[in-house]
Amino acid sequence: MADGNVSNRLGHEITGAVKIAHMPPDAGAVHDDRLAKSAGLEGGYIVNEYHFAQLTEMLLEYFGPRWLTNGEIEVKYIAPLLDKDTFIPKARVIGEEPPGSGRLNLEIWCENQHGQKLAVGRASCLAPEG
Amino acid sequence: MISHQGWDGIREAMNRVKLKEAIDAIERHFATLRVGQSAQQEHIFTEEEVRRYAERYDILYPGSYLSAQGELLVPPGMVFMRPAATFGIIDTEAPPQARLGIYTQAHRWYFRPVYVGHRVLFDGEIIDTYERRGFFYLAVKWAAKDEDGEVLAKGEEWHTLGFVRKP
Repeated sequence: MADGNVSNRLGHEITGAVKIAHMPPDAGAVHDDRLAKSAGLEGGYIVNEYHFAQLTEMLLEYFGPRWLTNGEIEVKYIAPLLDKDTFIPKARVIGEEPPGSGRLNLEIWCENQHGQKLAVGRASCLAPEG
Repeated sequence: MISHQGWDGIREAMNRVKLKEAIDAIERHFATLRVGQSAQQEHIFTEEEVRRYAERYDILYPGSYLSAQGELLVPPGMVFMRPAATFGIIDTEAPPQARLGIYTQAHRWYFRPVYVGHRVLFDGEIIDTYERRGFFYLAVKWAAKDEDGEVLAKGEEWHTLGFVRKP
């Protein structure tokens, strides 16, 4: 059965720091607008490491140092993040897994200024202390 | 004198040739990949490298990335084995559209903090290769260990070879 620290957190929604994404100066070929368009993509887009960096930043903020020793994250990239788009990382605590373990299971995603999901997935970690 | 339309036609034809070269390079390389194929790397994350990453991906550093003793830690997003850079096309003669590629999925676990300036040993292995909707995919599993052999993190990565789609 979930302890107070877990049950109080079920259903929590978390929003990480909202950022305006920017193309790094040395982004590489797939992020170069001209080369990306030449290959049939809609244009150069921000490297998916950006999503990962921002999602893990949000999770570290939520879980504290436990994230660095107990964190698990799974992400699928589903739509491109374009230069100057707004980037919003989000999460929702959906359960304790396995039950009684004190380990929170979260649905995670990030979206742009249009509410379009760019990446989706899940994360888990021991509930934050306190 | 060649008209604008003429130049456009020439550019388009040159682009088609480049893309064909890129797809050929990807297919040739893909045919050499084997499930179970492994690679080892070692890396020391320097403070300069970590600060550059933080600036590039807009995260506050050192911020929360300090141990209880005040040592600098490496952000988790930096700790992984790059599938395309490890098992992909590094031939600089290949068109840029054939090199590196697109991340499509990642699954990572963290067990111990990674310290700036400490040696990290990566073991990686190809766990799947497949073609889907014109893209050639590579799936890799990896583990990162410290010098005492303790596992710091592990993961699985899905990545395309190049970013050009086969027609």
